[in-house]
Amino acid sequence: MIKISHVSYQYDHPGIPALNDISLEIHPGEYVALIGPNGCGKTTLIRQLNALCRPDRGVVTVDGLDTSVAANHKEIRRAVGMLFQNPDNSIVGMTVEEDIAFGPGNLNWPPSEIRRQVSQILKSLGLESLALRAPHTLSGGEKRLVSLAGVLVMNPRYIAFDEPTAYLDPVGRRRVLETMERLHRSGIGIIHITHDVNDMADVDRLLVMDKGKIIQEGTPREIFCKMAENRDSALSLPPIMELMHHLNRQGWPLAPDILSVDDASREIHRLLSGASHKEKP
Amino acid sequence: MISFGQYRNGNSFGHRLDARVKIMAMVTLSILIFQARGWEICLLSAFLFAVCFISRLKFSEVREALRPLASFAVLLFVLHLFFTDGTPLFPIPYLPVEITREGLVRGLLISWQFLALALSGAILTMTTSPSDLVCGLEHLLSPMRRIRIPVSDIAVMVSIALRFVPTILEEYGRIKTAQIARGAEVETGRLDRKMKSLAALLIPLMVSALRRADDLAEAMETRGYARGPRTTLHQLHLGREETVAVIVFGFLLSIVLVSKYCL
Repeated sequence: MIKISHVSYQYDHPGIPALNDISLEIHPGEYVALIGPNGCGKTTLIRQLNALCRPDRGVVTVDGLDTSVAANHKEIRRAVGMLFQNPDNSIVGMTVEEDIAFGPGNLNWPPSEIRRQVSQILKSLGLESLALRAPHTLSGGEKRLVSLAGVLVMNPRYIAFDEPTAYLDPVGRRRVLETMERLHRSGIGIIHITHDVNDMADVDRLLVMDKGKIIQEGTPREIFCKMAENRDSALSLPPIMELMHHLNRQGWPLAPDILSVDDASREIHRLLSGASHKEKP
Repeated sequence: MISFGQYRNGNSFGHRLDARVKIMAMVTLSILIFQARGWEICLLSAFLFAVCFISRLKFSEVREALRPLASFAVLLFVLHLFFTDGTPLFPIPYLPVEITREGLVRGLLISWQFLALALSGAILTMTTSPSDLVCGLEHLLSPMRRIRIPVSDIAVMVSIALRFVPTILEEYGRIKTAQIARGAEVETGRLDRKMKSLAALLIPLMVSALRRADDLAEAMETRGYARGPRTTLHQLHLGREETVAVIVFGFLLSIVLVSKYCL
């Protein structure tokens, strides 16, 4: 479990703190989405998770290891993988396979073991054909998957993704999201920073951040329903929920807390088949 | 795009050979080339051509690799041709210089030595992938760890530099297009204006490279990078092919040395 208790953090320049007394627990195998406007501290928060920055006040522990103790860093960084916004700047190796081997090399695994793990990861992500390619020849989606492979090879228990679908075409986007979903099913805890409401429908927990604080926390359904009532949030609702709300306001007796297309079609079907012998409102 | 001696994929004897052997051979050759005269240089040249052939390098590829250096070789030749004392071959009217027989021979020799040196370097980089090259260098330099030279870190630095060359070039192209779109005279215009717009290219390029470096440092840190020895994917091994190569090369080396110092 990652435990963040009363963490505050400020970058060198004075001003409002990037993180302001945040407390949070992330459980093994949980899928958490982190949303909020630019500059609200999302990235700073996930940087705390693998000791890239350490709290000014408060404590962060990863499976019991305190991030402020330098001796724990190697283990913490192995446990919490991190994927940055720009995959171009996180690929170190001259070829795909070498990049994946970078982390294990840092852990001083023997070369034969590195070779074995690298081929296994390449296979599981369907990247075998790219093994010897140079990073600059890859597409955006491929770069994301390669940098993910470089993190996965170290067998992390949690992975933090910083806007993994930004700038991707629909195919690359779907491939990345499907891979994340698969990792979640295999028991890895996922922390996903995103602006896209469509990415959030299936997550276990949604955290809304603003000005260095977590202002809302709950299942996507709870949070979107509250947002739909208030209508003052910077975030827009998922389109399908927006539609249900519109219809609901116009007097159609549809449940307003619907997030997925599947649920919506079921609901509409239920309404239409039930309403066939009655006059529609 | 810089094309000097870019790696050509292949699986020839020359490609398969352990990078350490190739690097050492190249270093030895580059010393030997400048010691050799007369038939010795012919022997070494024949050896280089044989290596090209064994490595299945096409003539056109080799020519392209050497092309950027051709003008310098010509300059070397011309300088020696005119400024060497000796028996005049024929006078040149209206000029206070003359072409000598010694100058002709010396010019040919030195410009060929220069090209042969470039050729041996090109063969190395054309048959050895950058990864193998870095790995080979790391192994060869590893004794220097004893005198506290951080060999592994240097190897990581070199490979990062090579990894980012195409990325930075791509970025350069992007910045150039962006600046042209804003009216910078990068490719056209007077020289002084061109120089001015060069700043408009290089400064953004530097800024972005520094930002990249920051990001990269963080990414490396999150992946557990720390200074000091680390293991790598690549394994070098010395086998039968390497033995053959070392014997052949040693034979060549001893012929040249014996001919030079003992005869």
